[in-house]
Amino acid sequence: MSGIAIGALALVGAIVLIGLRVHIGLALGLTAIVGINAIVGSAAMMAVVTSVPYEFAASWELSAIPMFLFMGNLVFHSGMTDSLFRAARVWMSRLPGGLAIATNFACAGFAAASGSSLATTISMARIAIPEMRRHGYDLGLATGVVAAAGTLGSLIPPSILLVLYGIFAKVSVTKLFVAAIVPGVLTALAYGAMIMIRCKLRPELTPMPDERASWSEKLAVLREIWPLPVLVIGVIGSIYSGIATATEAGAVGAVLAFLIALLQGRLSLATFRTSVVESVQTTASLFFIALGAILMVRLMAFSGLPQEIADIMNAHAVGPWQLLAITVVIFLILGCLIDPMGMILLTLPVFLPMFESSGFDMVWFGILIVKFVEIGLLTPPLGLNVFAVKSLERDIPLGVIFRGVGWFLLCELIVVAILCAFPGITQIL
Amino acid sequence: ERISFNVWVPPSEVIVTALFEPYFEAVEQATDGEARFQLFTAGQMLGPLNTMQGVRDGAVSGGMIDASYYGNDLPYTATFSDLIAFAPDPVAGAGASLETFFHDCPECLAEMAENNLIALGGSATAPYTIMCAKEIGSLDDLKGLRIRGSIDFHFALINALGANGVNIPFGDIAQSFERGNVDCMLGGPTWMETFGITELIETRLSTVSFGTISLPAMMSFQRSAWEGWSEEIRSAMIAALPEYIANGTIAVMENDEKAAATAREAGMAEVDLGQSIVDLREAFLVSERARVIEAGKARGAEDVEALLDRFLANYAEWEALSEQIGGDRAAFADALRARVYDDLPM
Amino acid sequence: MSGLDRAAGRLGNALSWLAYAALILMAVQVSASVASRWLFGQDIPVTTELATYYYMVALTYLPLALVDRRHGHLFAEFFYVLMPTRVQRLMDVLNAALALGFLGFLGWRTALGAIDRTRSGDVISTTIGLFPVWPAQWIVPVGLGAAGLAVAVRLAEAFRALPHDPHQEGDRR
Ligand code: NA
Ligand code: NA
Repeated sequence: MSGIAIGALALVGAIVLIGLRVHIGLALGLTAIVGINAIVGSAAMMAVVTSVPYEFAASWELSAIPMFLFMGNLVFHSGMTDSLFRAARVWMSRLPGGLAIATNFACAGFAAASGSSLATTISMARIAIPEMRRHGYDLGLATGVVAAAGTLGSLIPPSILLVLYGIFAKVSVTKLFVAAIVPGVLTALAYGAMIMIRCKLRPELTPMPDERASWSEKLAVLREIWPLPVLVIGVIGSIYSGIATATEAGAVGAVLAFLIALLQGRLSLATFRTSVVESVQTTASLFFIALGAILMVRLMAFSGLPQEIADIMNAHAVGPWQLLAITVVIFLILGCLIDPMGMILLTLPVFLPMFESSGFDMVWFGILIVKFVEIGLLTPPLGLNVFAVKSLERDIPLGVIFRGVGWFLLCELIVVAILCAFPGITQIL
Repeated sequence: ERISFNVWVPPSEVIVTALFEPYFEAVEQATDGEARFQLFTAGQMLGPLNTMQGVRDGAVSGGMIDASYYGNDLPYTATFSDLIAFAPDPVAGAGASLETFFHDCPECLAEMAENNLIALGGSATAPYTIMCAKEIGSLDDLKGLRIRGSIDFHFALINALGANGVNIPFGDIAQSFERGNVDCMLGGPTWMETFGITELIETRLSTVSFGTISLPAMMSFQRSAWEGWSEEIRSAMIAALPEYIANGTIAVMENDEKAAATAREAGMAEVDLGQSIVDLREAFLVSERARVIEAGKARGAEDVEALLDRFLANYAEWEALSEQIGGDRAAFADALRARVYDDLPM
Repeated sequence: MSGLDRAAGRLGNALSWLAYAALILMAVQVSASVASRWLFGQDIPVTTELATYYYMVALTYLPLALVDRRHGHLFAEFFYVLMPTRVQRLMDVLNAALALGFLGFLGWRTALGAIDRTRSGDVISTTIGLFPVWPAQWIVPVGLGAAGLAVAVRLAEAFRALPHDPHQEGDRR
């Protein structure tokens, strides 16, 4: 059997195992090991398995992930996101679908402090979903908005995915962060508009909340939310002023969040402990998946499957925009199977050279790649953000969440179309 | 015969495109396809820390080995990674390293054999120069600057310059330059392209090479696999090598000059600090000698001093040869054959 | 049986504490290094090296046993939930068996790798001289091994649950 066939077979095998409820990292890792063994032989497979686990984890660039998670957890457990959500709720309660819109913009705010989609989704799901359920919101909308708006975590800086892309594409991470701001805000606005229109047309989705906040209440709640902007300015400012690198900024943010929470008297020993424990557990869970993904990346490299795809594209002399269209399709398919980090690691070695030669702006391309990856977080069968919501709201069927996410995917398509039609959007700031 | 080879640098590196790839192709042709090479790049199979074990244990037939990562297993071979300062010229450095390794270092050959390895040769890197995102007019301007380094030699040199060494991870280098967290780095001009900082570099101290790395055991194979291959394959592999070592070494130099030219167009000044930097280098070599000998003892190579002296003697001869070669690939390959490969001890 | 269970639990907890320490140390040391560079122009030596070669590896592998015990891993449920309980239990066994095989295989191979690196005494160059990194190699097999032990307990539980009539128990999930 050819390497390409083995590579394709391994991808199918991984999906089957995931379907059998085998852990995602395990499914990817096991099929990758079997596939590598089939292509390069057992001695070489053993060498890969011996060296990969340590080499992959011992990474300075990846250290931004646990640090941004730690920061996000401190923010969440000390109640900073809580007041943000409260402010958004009080200010938007009169809008149709106000709670959902509030959740959407609270996600955007939290995204400016968190580097990961998953962290954003999990944090906001805890606060917002029970609230929306209490008000009788449609379950699909309540869960969908959190899963979808959570993806802003990877677009609005800081962003772990953009850091990874910058490393691979040798593009300045700072430039990527700046370029992502407008598309991130645009996405949040598109989500908000869509929710409002839908709720206007179908009022039964969202019973109007009965609370009417007075102006003094509205102003009082604003005074509570200063810590988050301070934190965001602190983190982003430390990067832009050159005090910290994008990698170091995570640690700076964690310490800053700790100090702010301490200053506000919101940090108990239990809060701190929970933040530490959850950051560590999420890190280990994510990196276990990443370990499987990295093994799969090795298999793909050995199999020659990505190269084959590149060769076919070159042979047919596809133009830049066709190339982009094909990339979208491939990312959407891959997004069904592989986690975001794995997708970046798997595809960039193949696509980057092609895109560099096609004359696209690599910063713009990075934003687009992250968009595609984020869409992959929302599409079945493997949609990590959807799973994250499901893991917190175990009684809501997975199908309901995926259906709720559907409307947001429509918005994503519109945003991607705008990004493609007006690439200059990434250069406004 | 299917021969797999592991390289941990990206496939776009000159050493892959000018040495490994064309060399393997040449051997395939010379043996009429009896030898078939499979090249793994970018550390997809094994990283720099694991290649030696992978080759020794047969995960791959051969690999790019930097012995400095395996100081305890290959204490004498690792010495060559420490001779950087003593080999400012790449052609002379590569020639002298290979001659010393194969003909004047029985300890090297013995320790390779003990690890079930056989070395065939290797090329040299581009000369180390100092590139700064600041204007540098004298050696004093370097004092107190933050210079990026990663190996012992770098930090020894940075100390000698009176600057501060910082080890910034690869992924942070570009941003560190952009934000002024680092002022200079040690390396060849191609590094400016690799990290996308060509625009930021204002000065290069280019008139003095601070050294090159020559790894004589860079291309190594598993000994038991090698012994199983036909005489035809083995002699074809040795016969083709000098040409591609010459090609790889000179291509690296040419590439370097191209990158430097690009940077000059972008406004980089090439600065000559004259006698002051020559004197500094002389003084530095004295302290380097002590450091290299001590480092050798620390990893169990008792007689590095003798090895260093043999290398210096060979290097002096190769320096004269390099003058004659004058960057000509064929002449370099001929010199390698005459002084190293025509009677290779196997 | 419950003795092994307890042992696996204690081991998982103990290793997790090391991971917590790594997280806090990384945040504090990296921030302190940034501050020191900002104020005095000098990083704290071996900060990125410790973060890279020690803290990150500890964060990745040491919590795995505890994470597995707390079912912190993510599963794809869409097919699983459609199955009758008896099939689900078979899938539990399959899942645990595959996990044990994967963790055991990786643990074994990385242990051999760690022995190798210990023998060759791995060091890296830093601004303050040579710095040993071989001890960090052991973090990987230790973490994977402890996770393997936790999964072995889970596998035994899943096996014992197999022959029981599913209707006599509540939904275990
Ligand atoms: Na973010
Ligand atoms: Na998906």
